[in-house]
Amino acid sequence: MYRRKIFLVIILCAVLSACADQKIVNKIVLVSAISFDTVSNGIKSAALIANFKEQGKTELQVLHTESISNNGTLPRLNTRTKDPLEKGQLRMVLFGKTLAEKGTGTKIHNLLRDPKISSRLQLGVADGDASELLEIIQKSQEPFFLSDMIEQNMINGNLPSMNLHEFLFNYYGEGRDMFLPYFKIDHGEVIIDGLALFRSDQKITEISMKDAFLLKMLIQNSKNGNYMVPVEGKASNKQVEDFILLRSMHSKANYIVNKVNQIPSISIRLKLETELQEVPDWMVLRSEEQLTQLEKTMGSYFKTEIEKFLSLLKENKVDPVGLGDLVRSRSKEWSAQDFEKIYQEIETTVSVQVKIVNTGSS
Amino acid sequence: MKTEFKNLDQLLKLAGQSSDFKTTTILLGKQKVNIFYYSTLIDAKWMQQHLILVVQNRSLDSEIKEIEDIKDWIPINDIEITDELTNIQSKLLKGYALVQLNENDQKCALVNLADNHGLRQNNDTENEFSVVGPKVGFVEDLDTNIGLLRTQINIPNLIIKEIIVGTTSKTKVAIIYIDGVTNKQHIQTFEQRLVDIDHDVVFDSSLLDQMMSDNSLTPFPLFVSTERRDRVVYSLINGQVAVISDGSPYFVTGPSTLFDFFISPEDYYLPWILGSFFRLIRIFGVIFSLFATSMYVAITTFHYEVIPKDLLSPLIFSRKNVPFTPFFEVLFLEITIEFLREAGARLPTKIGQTLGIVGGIVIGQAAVEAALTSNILLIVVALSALASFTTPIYKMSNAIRFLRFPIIILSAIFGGIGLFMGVCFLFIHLIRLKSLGSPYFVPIFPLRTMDLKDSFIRPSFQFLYKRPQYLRPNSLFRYLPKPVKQKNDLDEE
Amino acid sequence: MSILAVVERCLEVQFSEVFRILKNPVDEKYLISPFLIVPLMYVSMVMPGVLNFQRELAEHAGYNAYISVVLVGISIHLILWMIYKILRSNQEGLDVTAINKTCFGKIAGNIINFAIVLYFCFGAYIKFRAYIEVIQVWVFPSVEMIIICTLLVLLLYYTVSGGFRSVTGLSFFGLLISIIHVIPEFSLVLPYTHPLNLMPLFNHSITDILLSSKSMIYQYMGLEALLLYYPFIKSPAKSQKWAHLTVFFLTLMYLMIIIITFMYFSEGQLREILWPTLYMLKILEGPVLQRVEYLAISMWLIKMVANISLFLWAACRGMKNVFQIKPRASLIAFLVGFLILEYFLKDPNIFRWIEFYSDVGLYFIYGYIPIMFVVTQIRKNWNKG
Repeated sequence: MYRRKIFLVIILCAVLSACADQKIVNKIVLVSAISFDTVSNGIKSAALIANFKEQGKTELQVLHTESISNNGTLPRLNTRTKDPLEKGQLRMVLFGKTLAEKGTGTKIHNLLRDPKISSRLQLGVADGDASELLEIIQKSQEPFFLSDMIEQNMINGNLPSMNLHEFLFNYYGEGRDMFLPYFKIDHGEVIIDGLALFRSDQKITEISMKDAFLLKMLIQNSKNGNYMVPVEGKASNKQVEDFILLRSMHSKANYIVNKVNQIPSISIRLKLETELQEVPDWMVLRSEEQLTQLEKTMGSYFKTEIEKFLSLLKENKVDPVGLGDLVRSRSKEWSAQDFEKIYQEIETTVSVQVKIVNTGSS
Repeated sequence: MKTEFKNLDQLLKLAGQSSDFKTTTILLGKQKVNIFYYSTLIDAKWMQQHLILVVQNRSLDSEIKEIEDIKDWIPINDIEITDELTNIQSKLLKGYALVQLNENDQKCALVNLADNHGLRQNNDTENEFSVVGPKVGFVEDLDTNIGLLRTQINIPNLIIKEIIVGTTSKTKVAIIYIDGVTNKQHIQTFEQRLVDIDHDVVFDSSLLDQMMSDNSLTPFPLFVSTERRDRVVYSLINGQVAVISDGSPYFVTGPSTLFDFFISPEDYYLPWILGSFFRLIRIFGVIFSLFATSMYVAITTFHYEVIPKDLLSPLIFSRKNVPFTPFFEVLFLEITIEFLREAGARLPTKIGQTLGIVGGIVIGQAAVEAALTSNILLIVVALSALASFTTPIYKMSNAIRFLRFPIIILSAIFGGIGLFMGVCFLFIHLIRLKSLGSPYFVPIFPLRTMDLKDSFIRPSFQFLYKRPQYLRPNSLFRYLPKPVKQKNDLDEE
Repeated sequence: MSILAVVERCLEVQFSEVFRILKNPVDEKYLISPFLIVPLMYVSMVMPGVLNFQRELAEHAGYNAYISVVLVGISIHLILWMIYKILRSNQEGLDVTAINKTCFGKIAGNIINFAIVLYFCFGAYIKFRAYIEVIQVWVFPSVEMIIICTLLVLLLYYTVSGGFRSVTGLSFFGLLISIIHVIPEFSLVLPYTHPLNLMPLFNHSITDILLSSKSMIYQYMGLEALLLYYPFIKSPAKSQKWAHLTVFFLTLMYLMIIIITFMYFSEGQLREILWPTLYMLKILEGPVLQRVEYLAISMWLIKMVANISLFLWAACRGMKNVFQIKPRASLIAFLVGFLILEYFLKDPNIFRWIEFYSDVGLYFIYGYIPIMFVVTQIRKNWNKG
């Protein structure tokens, strides 16, 4: 009996003193997005926070702060809110263009270290000031607008699959470089304009959504991506080019490393199954021959586009496709530095096989 | 409280102090025949007709010489001639009348005139209801109950052993088993435990249940107690032992396992697919009712990260104006539900129903509107209360409702870790528990793969021909399995 | 000699020994069936290390380290076979403390026994501390750990005081739970993997691979608890095949985890991550729970309690055999010791402690056990001759 009483006392003490780490869900402020920008004397950061006001309605608020150091955004912002800020539901981290060009290494490293941060977090680069983007999101009343937009475009559009884990995988992985979605403001609305390509932690260049489809095709199945292929038509009087809009049903990239030593040579074989979504009115797609003809022209068009894209990558010395990693996996001795030197000289040959599986109902 | 009597006179004197202890004297010439009885225990009309009138009529003929002669002319079967005082005492208290031919005779006749008044006639099941299947339940009379059993187990192997328990009540307790099926060891343990009981009044079998229990420091019932005939028959057939005390409509069967409490006889009356489905629903209900509210506490207090982002807005909104921590919020609602349950159990059925509606709808709605609780929690608590009532055995559903509270407290301290500490405690407790010396958590631990088939699901009858092995029955087969049907070819079907 | 041949030989030996009728000093009703050695061994070997062994493993051999897993797995089969030989060299049903006494005399034997007891107790503390560390990093960064420790200690007391049967029972549930959640979790991670990471299959030197193997041994430590609970197994000869099966299964599991980890993280990324196994779970999203790793850590508690209590049980059993101290008293002493250590060592660097423990374990497994094996075999032949 005596022993049991001691137990009870201990448990009671535990109950009384254990209220330290409570994070009651309505007594905290959830940060759903953070942005970082450079200003003349340091870093400007903004946090998008959500106040859940009424059923289904959310009021968003953007908090700003500036500091000379790289870290400590949340503690400083904490001085502006009634309840503590919490980052466990953080879904979006935005970098301003200048900051991205200067380098995002510390930020990314801190995201990796923090166990509270979800691996499904999205990163992004804004064309211009990132906090402006948050101001626009504020009106939408949806705290997870940006990350949802990215995820939606990964499934139904041209964006390759990405999340914090994939970014880190590319960032820390040798022989591959990171790429992030690139946001723009258009008519007062946020749009995804393409991808920002990084070398290590610095943004080098950006590519359009059209090229993003090529990248998606090179690294994974490009299902549901859209692409416009120009066709030279009979109605050549018109100056406006005609386009075929196609939707990828399935694609697969095969890499063959022909040579490893000195200058590696890689041949890339792509298979693409598509559905024709929009075609010019004069185009007749009745016979088998016409279709094969079209498949061929599209194949050669893709081939030239991908070659152009690859040379763009080489020019900028960025490797989002992971060609370096590919060569590493085939060679016993490989070093990132050596590869970087020869990256621009790598031979790549591309062949694309397009198959039209669905022509629509016409 | 045992009084030793020296002679019959002393006993009669003590008994005479009660006002219902009556003496009727019949004069047969010189002979004074005394009849002693408790008027409250006997059937007065019966006595008048079959004892007093017979004796008076008889007296016209001649005097009675020998007490043994009574047996010949009183038309009642159960007559005993004895001079044993303890026997006389206990029989008198059971509704026998004592016939003394001459004053100061030590040897007397005991005539059974017991009356079963005060018992209910209706033997429908009251608490363990089932939609399909018989609704026969037990009543407060031992003989009726055993009779009910005998009609369904119609073999002489059904053995009934009587033991008297209770120093004051002297209640008859019957141990029932099927000879040749039930392991002798279980019977012996049961008997030993019953004999060892030292208690004054045995009100109900559930009292025995507690006094025979292996471990009194547990909320779990260690024996199934049931008022349904089919359930008792099923346990006897499987090789368990049943115990019932006189005056109780509840049988106690054992050794039981945790799973016995989630089995409803109805499972066997429905097609096995449905039976299995309902049983799984019941087990899921238990898990849900144990952990749903504590999960709510853990998540809303500590782990806001795990809330899916689409659920974030409704959850935070519903808790927006609640001034308490989730722990007190949950405690408030859980205790309200317990109030409702307890009040419903004490009130007459019709009022109870009204109260349920008033409590469930009005109080819940008002509590949400007054911002004392969040409406999501209201749903969770109501569901978990509902889920806890799916357990067929009332005692078990009580245990489950009780167990929620420590788990809620643990998760209010340590969140998810605390919750699983609760689970861990529960596991160890269940592992350590024993019912009549055999493990309680069988067939999961110790693992008995053969017995697993009738635990989570109710298999088809062609797989149920064996008795559970953990009971170590003397004969393993209940019936012979059906030979496997030759399957027709697909095209000949 | 291939692993199959080893097993085959063991089985042969068993047959000859089954017929030896020997008395078991442990009461029949406390014995567990030979199958239950599977959860016991599984639980005693899998510990917090499984959450972060990948990083250290990859330190030397890089992504070739999966070879180390296989190597260590095979060597552990050999050690297990030796353990069975040691335990069976003497009268059936004696644990290692008794064997030590008969081999080395009472005083020297008891010194070794005491060292073994300390080793188990220390192991229990290391695991206790490591789990607390996981909780501290992942769940409650700012809470006073002493409170959680207190409750854990109560839980441990409740488990161990239930005797070997309740330790076994909890281990069984630990196994059940980890099977239930490990397999779906890792198969759900599969879509996010990059098989290319594993290539080239062999580009590190043998030395590197052996160096990596050293850190892998820590993942099998706990196996030696068998030396103490062996007498509690009903017909112990039958348990050997289950024990080997467990080691085999565990090696497979480690192999699966390591390969999935290597495919999931790029090598540079893995170097940055402290708890790769938990980190992998972060990508999963459940319908009710958005972050699976919290659930996983909480569920781990059951296995951890089983693991620690098995070690504590072994230590208490050892104390009883060596000094005739009542297990309950030594259990309370150990647990209070845990709390005191936890309270006074404010910031023990758990990784340094683990390293020390792992070194000791290395000597125990690859030093003490083979020596005992040789000693007992010589004694056996001597007695025969």
